[in-house]
Amino acid sequence: MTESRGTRIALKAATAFVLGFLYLPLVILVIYAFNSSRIQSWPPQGFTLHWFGEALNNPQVRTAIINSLTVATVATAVALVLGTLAALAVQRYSFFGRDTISFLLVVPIALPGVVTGIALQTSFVTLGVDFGLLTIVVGHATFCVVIAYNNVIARLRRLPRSPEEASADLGADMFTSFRRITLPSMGTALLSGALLAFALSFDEIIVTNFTAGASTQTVPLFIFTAIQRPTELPVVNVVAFVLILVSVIPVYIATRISGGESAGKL
Amino acid sequence: MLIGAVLSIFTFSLTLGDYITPDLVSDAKFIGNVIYDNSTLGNLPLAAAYSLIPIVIMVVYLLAARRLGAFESL
Repeated sequence: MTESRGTRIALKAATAFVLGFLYLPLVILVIYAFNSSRIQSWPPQGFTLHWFGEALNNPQVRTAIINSLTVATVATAVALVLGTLAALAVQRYSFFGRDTISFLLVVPIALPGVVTGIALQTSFVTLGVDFGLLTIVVGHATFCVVIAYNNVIARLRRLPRSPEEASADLGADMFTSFRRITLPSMGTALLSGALLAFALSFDEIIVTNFTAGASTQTVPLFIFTAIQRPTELPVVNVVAFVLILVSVIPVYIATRISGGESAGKL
Repeated sequence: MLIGAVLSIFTFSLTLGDYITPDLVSDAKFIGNVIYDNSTLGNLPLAAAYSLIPIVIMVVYLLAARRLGAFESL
């Protein structure tokens, strides 16, 4: 494809503008994380690692990080199991009401987080469930399932059926075929789905805000509360910087593993 | 094209219900803010009634996407 000189320059300018729009706020945040002044004013006063020490010694930050890691791990595990089973059912079997099931599966996932959040909160109150890590996990599982489901179903569509059929012909029962043939060929799809689900769970706040209760904090919840206290802003910058790193690394690995197959897809 | 239709469902839905971003960078109130604010104020019935708006919008959106056959390409 050949573009005129003018088009090329315009495209370059548009790309630079979009990238700047996406990354400039992140760069500013990272710069302030190393700023020696407690007050955020431009230009930064000097370089310091002081806030990293302060963040590390803050018990609230530590608890929040441990909570976030726990929730993300459990929610990812739940999502992988349920998402894989749902994808297998919808892709490999045709049964009465299959289209309805797949539609019903998508609706709660496609609802805005605020609806999921308030619905879960109301249900937990009605059922008398105590708010805590468990309720957060349930909230996160609702959107993590779709990540696993999408990754697995995209892989299943591309897998040939013949190895499974050969395995069944040779006398393997359904579970043996699944364990030794289907599961290994889904490995990377599961891994990239898991990494994306983990990253999404780790920085989720919209649903978490409803299902966390008053006494449990995750990293995003900590940031959201602390940001309203100006003296804590440097610590917030550090935590947000760490959050960016923790979220970016798994997403990067996931896109590398899947070779762009479906990793960009929510 | 169909993939675009599927992806638009999720981006649209994410934006439709967001109340954190409007809270942080604007004074304007959105659907999400009305739902969240009323639920924290203890006016749960109003919040619940209001949340029917995004539910109806998303169900219509999903039904339209299904008619286009967008789900087969999901």
